[in-house]
Amino acid sequence: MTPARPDRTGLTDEELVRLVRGGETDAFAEVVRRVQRPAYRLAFRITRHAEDADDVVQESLVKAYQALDRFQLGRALSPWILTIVARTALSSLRQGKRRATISLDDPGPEGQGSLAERSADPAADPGWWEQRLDVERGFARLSEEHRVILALRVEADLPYALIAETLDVPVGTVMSRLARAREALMEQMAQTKKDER
Amino acid sequence: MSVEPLHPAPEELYAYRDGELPAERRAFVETHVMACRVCRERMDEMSKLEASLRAHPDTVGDAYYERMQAQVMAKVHAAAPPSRAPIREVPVERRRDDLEHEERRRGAPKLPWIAVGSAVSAMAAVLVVVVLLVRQGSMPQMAVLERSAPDAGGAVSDTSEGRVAEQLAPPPTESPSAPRDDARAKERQQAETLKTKQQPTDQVAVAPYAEEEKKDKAQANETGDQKLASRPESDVMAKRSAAGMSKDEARLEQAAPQASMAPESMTRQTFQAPPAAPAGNRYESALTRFGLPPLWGPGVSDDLVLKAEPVFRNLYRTGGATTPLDSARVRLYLAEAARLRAGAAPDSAAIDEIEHHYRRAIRLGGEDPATVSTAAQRLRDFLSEIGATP
Repeated sequence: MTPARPDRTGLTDEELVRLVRGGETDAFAEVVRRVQRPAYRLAFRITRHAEDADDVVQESLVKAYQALDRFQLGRALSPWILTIVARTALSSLRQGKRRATISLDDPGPEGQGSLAERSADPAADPGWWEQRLDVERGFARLSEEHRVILALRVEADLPYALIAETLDVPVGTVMSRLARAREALMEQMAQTKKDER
Repeated sequence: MSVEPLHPAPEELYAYRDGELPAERRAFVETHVMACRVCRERMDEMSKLEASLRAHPDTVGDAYYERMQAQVMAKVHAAAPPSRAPIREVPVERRRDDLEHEERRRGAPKLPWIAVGSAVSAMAAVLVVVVLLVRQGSMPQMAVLERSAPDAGGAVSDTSEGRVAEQLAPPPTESPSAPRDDARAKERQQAETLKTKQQPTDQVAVAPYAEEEKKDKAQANETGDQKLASRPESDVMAKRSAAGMSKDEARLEQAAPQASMAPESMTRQTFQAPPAAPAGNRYESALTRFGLPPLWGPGVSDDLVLKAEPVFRNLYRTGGATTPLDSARVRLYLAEAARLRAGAAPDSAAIDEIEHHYRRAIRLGGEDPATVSTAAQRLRDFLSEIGATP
């Protein structure tokens, strides 16, 4: 019988990093637990493919572990890892350039219902989730460049400087590209409304 | 929506909302937004859209994340070094993007120290022989002796006094056990005199690398790799420096450009002949190196598959395979290696890993029937072996 893992949920990110660097590899499990959800969401936003996102997250977390010595203590851990996730996802996207389309009506993984079904919380205001689906559809119609930068900002909540590092562009380019992406999303929404009339 | 000229540009408006606008423009935009209903509505609308995107439901559940955590930790344990170094702070300026570089750095031996160590010992050995030869009056043999000490940068064909002086110069650090007899001290003093006449000290240290670079550049030119050969040293050194490499690492990397692009374990051969496989396709390089066929088949040696596994794993982790088909084939090899490692009774993590690689091979190999059918057949075999339903 394997001994129970010590509860590390009360430790700060920095304490966890110190533990891992000091040789307690198991402490990294808590890091994984903390970041895997936003990491998966970001990877999925960029790759738009569940299996690719799964691959990207696993690969990125292993990379993060291997590069942990380079992490500067005192900084936030999550954005650092999300940056790795974003780069890996972009690399996967460039490498594969595959189907990358997901329909809101596709069934979810593990036998779940479609995204449309899962979004349809009966307790929620029908207008609210209807709009949410419209936003998703609008997002899906954006160009790859716009989707990626919106995912980095909106989903991962990365500061402009980290987005610039991730995309290897100046901060000024991040500002202008992000603005164009947002405008494009608004246009998509306006178009959707027009179509519905 | 039309934007009047007096409104701030959209990028400024959104940057202000994101708290990212430079201070010198913040006051202007803030004053405008306070007074402009159009801009406020625009920002509100964007906030709603983004909140809606953030509210996008997870496509996976808690069970999925638990499984992912277990899979990641299995990989982490597999990738963990025997013992991590003690806690140490890393300079801020260690550059950002180079995870691949970091992997190369970790995988490669500590080249500068090895180089210095080797240089010291080799130069000491050369010095002793040279002393003997000088005493016997057989200096012309120097060139041959120098070539026999490659680690000390011995690919030096020049037998001029200056070059001889380089070899005669004392090593940069002295071994505590080095003999200190008078004759040797005298020889060293003579060498030092010659050296200061002929060469600045730092050039002495650089010369072996410079020779190495010249040879590599010439070789690259012969093979038509003009771009590689013609990149200016200063440019390369600046990039390497920005990436946190020492000068010696940078020189080594520049001196062996093909090796630097090779998988982790191949970088260990930086000082050896460059790999014979064509540069640019790391999957092909790996195959050539291990003598494996492009597509795994039943006749492939298990030993070779296991030996090549770290290289394929590195390709997989760093996205080193350049096409989806190559990625598919890398996955197939990884699945086979995982099966070999797991043996007859794979645990659940191994089963997940193997199945995952096969499925990815099938997916990525979409346009290549041979790859897809091989991966699919192997997956069926594997599932039936473990008693699962194909």
